[in-house]
Amino acid sequence: MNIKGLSLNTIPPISIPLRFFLTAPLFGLLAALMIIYYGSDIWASRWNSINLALTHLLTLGFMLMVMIGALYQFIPVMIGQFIPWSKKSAAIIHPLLVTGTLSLTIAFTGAFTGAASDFALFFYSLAFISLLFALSLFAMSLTPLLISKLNDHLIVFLLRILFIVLLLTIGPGLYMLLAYSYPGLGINFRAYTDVHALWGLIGWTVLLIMAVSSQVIPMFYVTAEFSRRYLKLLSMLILMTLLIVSTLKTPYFSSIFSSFRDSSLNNIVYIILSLELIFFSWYTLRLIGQRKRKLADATINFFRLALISLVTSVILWWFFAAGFNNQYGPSAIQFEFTLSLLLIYGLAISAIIGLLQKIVPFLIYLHLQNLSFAHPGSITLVPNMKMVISTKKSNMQFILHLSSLVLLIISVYFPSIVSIAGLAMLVNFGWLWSSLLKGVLIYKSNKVKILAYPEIKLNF
Amino acid sequence: MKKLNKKSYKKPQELFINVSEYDAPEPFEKVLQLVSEMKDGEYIRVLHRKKPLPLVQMLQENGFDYCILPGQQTQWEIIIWNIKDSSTADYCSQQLQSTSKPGINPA
Repeated sequence: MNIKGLSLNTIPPISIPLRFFLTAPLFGLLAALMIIYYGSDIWASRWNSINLALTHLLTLGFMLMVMIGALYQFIPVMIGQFIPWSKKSAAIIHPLLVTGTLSLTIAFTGAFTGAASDFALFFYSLAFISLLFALSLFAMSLTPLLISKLNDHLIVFLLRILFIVLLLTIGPGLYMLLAYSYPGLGINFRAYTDVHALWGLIGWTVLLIMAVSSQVIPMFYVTAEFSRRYLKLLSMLILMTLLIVSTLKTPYFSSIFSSFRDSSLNNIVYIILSLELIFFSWYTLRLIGQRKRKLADATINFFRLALISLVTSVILWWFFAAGFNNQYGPSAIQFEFTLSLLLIYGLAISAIIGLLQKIVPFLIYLHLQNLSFAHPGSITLVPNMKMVISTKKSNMQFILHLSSLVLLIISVYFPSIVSIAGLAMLVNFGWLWSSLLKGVLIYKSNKVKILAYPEIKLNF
Repeated sequence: MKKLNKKSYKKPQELFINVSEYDAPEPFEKVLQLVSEMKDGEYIRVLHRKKPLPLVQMLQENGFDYCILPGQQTQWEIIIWNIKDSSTADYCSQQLQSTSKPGINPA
């Protein structure tokens, strides 16, 4: 097998991924401002609307935003072809996702204050329509890839699983949003929220990190490749286990299995799920530990932190399940917030910040290098990656991120420090945004300078 | 592409680089550095652990051609030549088509 001079489309315009990458930290900043503004009310209850707004700012505004931008960039690199209509679809999806997330935040926070319910209703409807269109359009653009015969690519397999998981996460989410917009539907919010949270926190978050790690870790840190067999099997197992857990949660099955006192069947399924998650963390940490060139690189610490957060959340969950939630210990609600913080902020956001610090400098380098080819003599204007985001800046980012994670978790148990935790989070996302923005400004100014050099026209 | 008799051209010089143990984007930088130094009568053989699709697209857009082959020492071998250097281009194409490959070494 060889590839001989195929016409490739692997470098989408830099504006496509960058618009998603630059917007995402702004939602992180907004989430941090909410924490500072609402203070200890944030951790009052899982059903608290402010908490729901905060969760969706981070999951839709940050995680999904970066995921979509990264897929526009990564899929062509992996398979040699663009996502169809990528320029047009990105230009529509991005503002819809921004509108949807902001509307949802306004609706949730408005609902919490109890004021202006018509106002909240309008924004629930706007959020529903925007997110439905954004996600449907993105799903449609991915469909040719997902139904293609590109079975050799691990990333295509993982994306297929991720797509199913995302449907099972977003489906109930959108249905609940519809029910908020039209209160007459009268659905059981708790049951739907449980399914939505389970698929979102465990399914989407873990499989997203699995897909990202399988591509980014070997490429940027020169580790051995992930075993295709392991990752395919593991992703399928996680999908199956989550399907079983969801099925057991339905009223029909929970009544059938009610004879299993103390939820023995549930426990067995949860043990299997825990083992899957711990295996993935162990396997990836081992690959990172065995890399050939152990160069000092701050960004790898983000991946380590992500995996350690996953292991910690599994261990904490077992402490909780084993009954360490008595009157002297932390309450169930505090455990739930700790787990959510570990999975969203510790696992997903850590890995995503690590990814952004690698991918944005790389894209800037790649596009300027390409431009410089046609403008001989301008090569000195192509910055290397460390000039875009320096090691010193990445190290500081890691310190800021780790301290904000620790402070957020402590604030769940000591609400008096919520504002300090919010401030730490604000600085973390502010630092990230300024680093990325500086990179984009370097790109823009160097592009102008490169274009000033005479262009060489190639005649084939 | 016109067919040339093997004897009718001088054997081009191979520039060799193994980037399989460099982290991204070092392979990219090293290969481009070599490409910028490549003269007429030369082609590049790269050993790589990945198929560097963005790199080869960039090369193709800028007047070079390439071929990606499964490697023996590393997972992939990439052969790069300048399209304008017609005798080297013909040599590379012919070598890649033939089964006996003295200079270029696909699996």
